[in-house]
Amino acid sequence: MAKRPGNPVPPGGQVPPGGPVPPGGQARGNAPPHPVAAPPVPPPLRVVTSDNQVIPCRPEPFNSGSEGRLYFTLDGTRVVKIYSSPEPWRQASLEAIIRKRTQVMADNQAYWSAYYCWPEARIAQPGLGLVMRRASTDLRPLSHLLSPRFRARLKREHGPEVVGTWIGHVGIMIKLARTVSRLHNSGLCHSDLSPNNLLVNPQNGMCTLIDCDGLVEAESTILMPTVLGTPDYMAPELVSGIMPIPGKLSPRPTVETDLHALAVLIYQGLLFRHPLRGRAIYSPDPDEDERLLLGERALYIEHPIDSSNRPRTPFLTSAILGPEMQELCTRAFVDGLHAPRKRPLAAEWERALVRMYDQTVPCSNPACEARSFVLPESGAVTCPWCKVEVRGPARIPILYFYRLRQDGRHDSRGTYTLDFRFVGWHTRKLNLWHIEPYRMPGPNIDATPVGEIIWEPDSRQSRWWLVNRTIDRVIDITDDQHPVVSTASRIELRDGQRLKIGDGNHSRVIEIRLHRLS
Amino acid sequence: MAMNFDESPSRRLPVYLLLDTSGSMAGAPIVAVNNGVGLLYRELLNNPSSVETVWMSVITFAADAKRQPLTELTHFTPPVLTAGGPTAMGAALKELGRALDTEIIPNVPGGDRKGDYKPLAFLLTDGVPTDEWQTAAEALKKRTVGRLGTFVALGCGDEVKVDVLKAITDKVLLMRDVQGDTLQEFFRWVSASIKQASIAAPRTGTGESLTMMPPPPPTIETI
Repeated sequence: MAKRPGNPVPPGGQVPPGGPVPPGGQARGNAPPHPVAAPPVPPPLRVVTSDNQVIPCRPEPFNSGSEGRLYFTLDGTRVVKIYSSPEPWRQASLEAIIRKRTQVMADNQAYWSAYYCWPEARIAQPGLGLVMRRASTDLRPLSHLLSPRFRARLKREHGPEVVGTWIGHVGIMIKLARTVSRLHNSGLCHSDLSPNNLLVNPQNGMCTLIDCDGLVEAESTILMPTVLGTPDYMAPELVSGIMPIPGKLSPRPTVETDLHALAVLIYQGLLFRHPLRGRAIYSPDPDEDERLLLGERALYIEHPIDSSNRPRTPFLTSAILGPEMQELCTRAFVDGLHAPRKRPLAAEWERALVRMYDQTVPCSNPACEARSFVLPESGAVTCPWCKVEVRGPARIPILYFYRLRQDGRHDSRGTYTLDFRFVGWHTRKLNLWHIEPYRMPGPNIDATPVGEIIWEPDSRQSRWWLVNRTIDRVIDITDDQHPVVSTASRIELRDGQRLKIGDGNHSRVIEIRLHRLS
Repeated sequence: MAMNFDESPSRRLPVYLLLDTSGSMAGAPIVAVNNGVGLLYRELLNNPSSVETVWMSVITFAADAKRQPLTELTHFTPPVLTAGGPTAMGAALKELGRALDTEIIPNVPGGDRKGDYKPLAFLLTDGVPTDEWQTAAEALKKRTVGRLGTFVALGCGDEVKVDVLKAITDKVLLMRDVQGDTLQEFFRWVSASIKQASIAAPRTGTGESLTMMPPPPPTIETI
């Protein structure tokens, strides 16, 4: 290993004359009689790609892991990884992953490339390696935010805003689900989804997936697993498989094992607790106990019938995330825990999270760390995090979005079916994915708001408005006159009111309910 | 007001460092050890899962053994070690046994709280014991309760007797040429062994066994 300037012990391992060396300082005894010239700057590391491009890198690695060393390019925009002992299959697998990049990001490379640090080219010199984008410097590992002690330290050292807000976490989880969904739809799994491999910004909800050189493809003999995962995020069938049974093929990472990791990450990212770590203890041997509680005997802390793994102290359950998210958690950690095929897909998580986002309201307590929460369907409106009752308008509009039933039938339940619930709040925007059925936020949709909810406090009674910016056809069907709400105009929202948007197969009905807050 | 973190006491990972502070360590070696412990502490402090789980204790040995109680990482202060005196390694092993008797929380099915992970111990010495050490070494090996998960002994320099270390544990590492750099690498390796990392997948055909420990740096020989 190369010597760093300022190293306390001189080469050769000799004890410097003059005795001990102050920690981190220069050797006192052999200090030269005249000022030393600044140590020579080591030349850049010369890295050459497989197609003979030369990339100069900083000579010292910024990280040395078990697989290899990581260097910044001299311009600081990219990262080079050089494997310390490349296995014979590594080159082919790396080339396959680099080719997959174009395929996975085909529809919108500018959009997707921010979501991954994906190998872009193979390095041939000074050894087998890869070059990839450097993640934005305002990101930090998700693990920093999930550890209470680490979080406290971040706030102490960088100010409270650095840990972001709960809604920032919701944004991170939406993007994580989208990122994983894209991989899975391309037939790939990541195989080591963990809080260490997610770089996030809880202030703006950005999320980038790293460690993408271990991607696995089902049935492939080239994209084979290199890791089984990180214990807390490994699916029970993988944890049980760590001790392989002779003659039995040990399980390998798949889309389904990724889906377990994703579910744990979402649960932890939103509720700050591991869904399988409750009070149950299965063995006096702690290693065996860990293997059982994450593997064979894994039991959801919120299991509806078996309460033997409930935490000892009261805790916030997935119920605070609303019924749709709660149901997905149950599917992931009850139905699908030991039945991989039953686990919710990444796209289902994404949809549920987007819908959950639309149902959040800000907390009235300025000292609340979470700053927002999901408005419960009924009951007292109290922030679950800080327990402070919400203050604000006496009533807020809830918009129930209906879409045309796909079977085209018209029976007692009508032609329309309930799609989702949207909580109106002052300045909350409506987007194309609310207005057009079957659309979701993502790479191929214009995110410019098409409408907005506005609250107008009045001397006698406050009023809520829907501002139509660019929605094509909005008609108030509660009114016999069927007045049209033209673009760049607004309509006051009333309890029981119904608005029809669009025409034909893609039409929607929005039903407005004014919900009493206090 | 807080984010409803899981506040129940989590499983602790006790880590014992047994450090030789005898006279032969005086000068550069003890400085390198001080730096190494500081490095280990900082590396662990930058790792969220270690911050949540690791508890540290330093047992130094020279004329006798001195033990710091097991301390939560965030409350731990790396000691400033000075060297001088003989090598009471036996006393240090006895202290380790005492610590394992009194400081380790057992994992009891049906119990109130999660017990500790199996404790890790790292012994660093540059010499031979000057006291009786066999009894304490035997006792450590025979333990059933509070058994060590891993016990690594690092011998530094030419004076070390490999058979003595081998009699204490079967994981013996040797660093013939002791320098600040190599010792730093050792402590970095200790930190990597403590941190919870991804588990490597076994490649078909290689038949390699799964191990939780990363390979030691190339400057260190595995005996």
